[in-house]
Amino acid sequence: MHRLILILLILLPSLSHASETRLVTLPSGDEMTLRIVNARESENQLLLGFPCDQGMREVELHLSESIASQGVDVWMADLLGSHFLPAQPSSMRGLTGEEVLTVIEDAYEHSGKQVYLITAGFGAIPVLRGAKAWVDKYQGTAQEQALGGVILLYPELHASEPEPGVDLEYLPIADQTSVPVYILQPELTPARWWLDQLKAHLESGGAKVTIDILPKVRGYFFLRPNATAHEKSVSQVLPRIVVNALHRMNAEQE
Amino acid sequence: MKTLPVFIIALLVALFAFTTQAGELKPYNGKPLPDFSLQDLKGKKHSLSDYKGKVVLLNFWATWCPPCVKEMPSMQRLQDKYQDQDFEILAVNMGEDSTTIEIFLQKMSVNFPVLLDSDGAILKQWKIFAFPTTFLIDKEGNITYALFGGLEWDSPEAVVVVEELIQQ
Repeated sequence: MHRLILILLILLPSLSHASETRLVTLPSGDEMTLRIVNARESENQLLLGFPCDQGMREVELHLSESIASQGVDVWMADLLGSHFLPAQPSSMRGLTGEEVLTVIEDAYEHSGKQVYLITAGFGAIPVLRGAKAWVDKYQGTAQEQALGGVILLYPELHASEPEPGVDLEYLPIADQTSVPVYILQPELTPARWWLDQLKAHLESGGAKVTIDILPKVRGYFFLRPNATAHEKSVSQVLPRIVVNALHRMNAEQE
Repeated sequence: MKTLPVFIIALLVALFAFTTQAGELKPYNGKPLPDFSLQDLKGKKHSLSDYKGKVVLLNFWATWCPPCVKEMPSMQRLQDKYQDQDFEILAVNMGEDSTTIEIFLQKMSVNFPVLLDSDGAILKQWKIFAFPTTFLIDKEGNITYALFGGLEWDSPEAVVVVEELIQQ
């Protein structure tokens, strides 16, 4: 019997993390599924991930597991799925951020760790709104510091589809963000030329903004079925890039 | 080439409403945008104002942009169609080095000027937020149409618009 147990333990895959799901009740009454991927030996930070306007995909779930293997707990919240919203930018623009606030509160309550948010593309809209809601609610209290900052991959914060030759209009949240923001921007995007403008908007709300350009990759590079060899390589190291960004933000607060 | 009467062309323009399977060529409602000068791959300087008197298709593109690459052959076909008329295409590349562009053009043979906006200065002045972005400029230098997205530039819908501008 002991020999059988030993064989089973050897054959079982070596897990660097454990995963589970939990339901979080939103203010609307809807329930959001939280996918929890905890590291075996985790740090004092928790990364709370919100999928972009493309919706929750397997790629993002794999990314969360890779990040967890580096010692950071990752909890993924399906914003669109919880409201049965289609995966498109307009769905993200319509979210107020109150569900993000609820999930941040849930994450902090259940983990006791400093929470960092991460999203991509138009996911930046509800995530920054949720971050603002957190600051508005807990400003001046010890709990305010429980939200460490936000990591944004190729954020999209414009109010409507851009028109050629016309100034880009940003959503109000671009000027109302005060938590630290770390932007990871693919080089091969038109938006990389407008980062100084986006940075100015975010800083006007009090946010400390750090920007890293990801060389020779396009937007949504890690989701592309036609990814180049280089994009695939960068996708492999993206978990490390994200963890480094989180560590940098954390270090700047100490 | 036998050309259609202008009023027929205008009617066709209205009927087709500038739509194609890829993008929509819309009348431009923004502010005037500034003249600029950029070098081509051989170092020759081109100013937009040099082309006054011609209809200009001003295209902003990059080699890594799939819709940009897809529409480029149709741009060349359009150029070929109007090579003896008051029409020119200027293709402004966004921020890529000459070698990258040269390698790309070995496989994509075009004979219209490819201009280099290496530091994105013109991109910012012309408020380009997506690739490809294209402007149609009339002979007086006024921006008449703009498009965010790719297009089959020798499609009947696009040709009608270009033809009307050339005949003005």
